[in-house]
Amino acid sequence: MNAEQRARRLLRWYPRSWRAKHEEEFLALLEDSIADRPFWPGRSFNVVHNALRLRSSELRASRRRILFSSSAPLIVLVAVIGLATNGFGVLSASGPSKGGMPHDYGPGVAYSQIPDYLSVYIGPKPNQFGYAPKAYLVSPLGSSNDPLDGRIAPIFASDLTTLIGHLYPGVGFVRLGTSPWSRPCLPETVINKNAGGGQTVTTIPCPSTILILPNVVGMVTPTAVGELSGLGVGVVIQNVHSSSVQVGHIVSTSPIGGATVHARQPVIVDISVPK
Amino acid sequence: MPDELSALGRYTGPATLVLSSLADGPKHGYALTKDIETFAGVHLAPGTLYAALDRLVDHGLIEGLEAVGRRRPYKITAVGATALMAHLQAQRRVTETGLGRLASAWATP
Repeated sequence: MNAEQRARRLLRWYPRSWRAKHEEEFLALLEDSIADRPFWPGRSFNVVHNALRLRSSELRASRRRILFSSSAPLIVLVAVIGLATNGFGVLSASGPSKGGMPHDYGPGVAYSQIPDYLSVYIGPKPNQFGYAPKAYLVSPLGSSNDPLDGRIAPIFASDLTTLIGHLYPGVGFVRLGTSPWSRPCLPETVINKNAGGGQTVTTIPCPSTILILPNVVGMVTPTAVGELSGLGVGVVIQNVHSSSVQVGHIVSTSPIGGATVHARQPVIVDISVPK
Repeated sequence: MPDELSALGRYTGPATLVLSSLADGPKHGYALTKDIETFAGVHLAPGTLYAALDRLVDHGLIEGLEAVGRRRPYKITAVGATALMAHLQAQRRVTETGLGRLASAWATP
């Protein structure tokens, strides 16, 4: 018996519906497997075992169908009563809830409420899974066990479990409090000694609050973001298409360079991305 | 921490191997088997492999592509990549803790 015959014989254990879906690809796999390791009794056992498991679950499902179809009028009646008493509550039931927060990360927030600057893409390289980086996260200076402490970082999948419980496009949670301007800004007292021996005490409402925004237009993104966040402003990156500015470079900022801004004030930085 | 992969119950092991294998690009069944054998030293039998593939497709973690000849390549989805990452991170914490404790408590003097 050749590999093809052996493969076909094994395939027959699977239910018809499964074969309709997977026949050719599964045969090809079996043939390759048989050619590779002709003698492997475990393979036949494994195939038969999985095929019987499928058949038994199909059998259970079909019994359930019979049960349901015989009681179908009752179910319809219950549904009608449900609709009548509950408005359309039945229809507006929310979708499957996915994921959750690891308990040590505080309350989460629904994905729809995640501000755009926290949008993520997945994978070590941009676009690997078709997600262009919509935004980067600039983390605040905070507790030292925050792995993104004080760094500017695009949010990578490897950061997801740190920052985010589960985050899928569309569904998920993000930890609040990671935006640079969400932390309380404590006043700071500055004491300047005068030449005469006296001193003046100045209270600055927020440390190094006022600064002049440098002009970063045309710079490459990491350099520009590094410079801005080094000054203490929150950097929000937006992707824009530009015909004049090279991809990966800064197209514009808001406020513009030279403007007076406060530390922790969000500065919107438009970066050029491919169309 | 609830994670998508652990929800696959007894398929968690094969599912992790399959997703890890697909993380660098689509592969068909036999290529998956070979790849998994290379990096994990585990030889997934055909029945187990397809049971895992079915589950993963049902959960939206992978998707089947257009068949090339008789072989159908499977591709990890963004959801799959996220789920795998979350699962592996959780596993890593266990691994690191276990190894760390072994090293400190069972180290030869």
